[in-house]
Amino acid sequence: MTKGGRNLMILGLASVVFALLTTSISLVIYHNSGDIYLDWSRPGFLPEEEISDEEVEDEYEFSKTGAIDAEVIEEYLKNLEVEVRALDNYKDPFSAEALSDEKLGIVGEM
Amino acid sequence: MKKKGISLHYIILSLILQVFGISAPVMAISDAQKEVISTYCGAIHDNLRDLQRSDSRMMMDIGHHYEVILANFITPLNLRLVENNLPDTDLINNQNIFSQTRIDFVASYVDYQKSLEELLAFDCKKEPEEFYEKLEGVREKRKIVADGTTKLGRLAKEQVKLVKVLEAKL
Repeated sequence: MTKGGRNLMILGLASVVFALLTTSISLVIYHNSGDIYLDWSRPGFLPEEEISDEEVEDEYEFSKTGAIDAEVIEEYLKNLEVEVRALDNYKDPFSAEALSDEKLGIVGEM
Repeated sequence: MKKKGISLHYIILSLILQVFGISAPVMAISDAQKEVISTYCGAIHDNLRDLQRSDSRMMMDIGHHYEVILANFITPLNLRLVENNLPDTDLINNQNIFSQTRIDFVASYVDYQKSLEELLAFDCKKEPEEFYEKLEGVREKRKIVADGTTKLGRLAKEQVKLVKVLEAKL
């Protein structure tokens, strides 16, 4: 093997090692920062049915600028109450019951 | 009768330990439960994985609503009120509390998910008692997440109430 060929091989190997190292560091940071638990694109954590673009409604956003009067506030309240009602529709989110002995199938006399 | 006595002693001991800032000991599980955990370890893991997935979906949905309420309603209203020289201290306070509570809620969710993952990595077949002990820890963390949703729901309703007060003043 020529000197140039050997150097090229060393460069290739070093590049692979460097890529593996940086990828590993990135994955450790991704995991330890907790981003992994908030990343909805993570395989296995997507909703069963993906929402099509047509189903996504335009979200109301209150403008940061402009005058303030009763009519503006009325419209604001109407839209805010829709969001609050949506929250109310979640019955007991993250309930303790989902992790109970019965739900997990751990039954037996204490 | 004996069972009730044991429970009462456990509660009193837990309260005393909590006063001194010490975590309550985990109530020992019965041999029957240990047997069930060891035998059905795989099924318990499957149930926990299903729960992890449904929690992720819940977090995605409910978390989006919190984000919308803060970014599309609470913050722009305060900015607009300031622009119109009508700053409202109660609304600004509510924004600060909502924002901080949301940050705490996300942090508690991450903490809960980490402990759930640790639980899933634990061999319940070999060490059912330790598994149950860890499960109790996960339950406590889940309760903190649930408390966060209660607080955020209450703060969203508080925003409606405060805006109605503002409307009456206009």
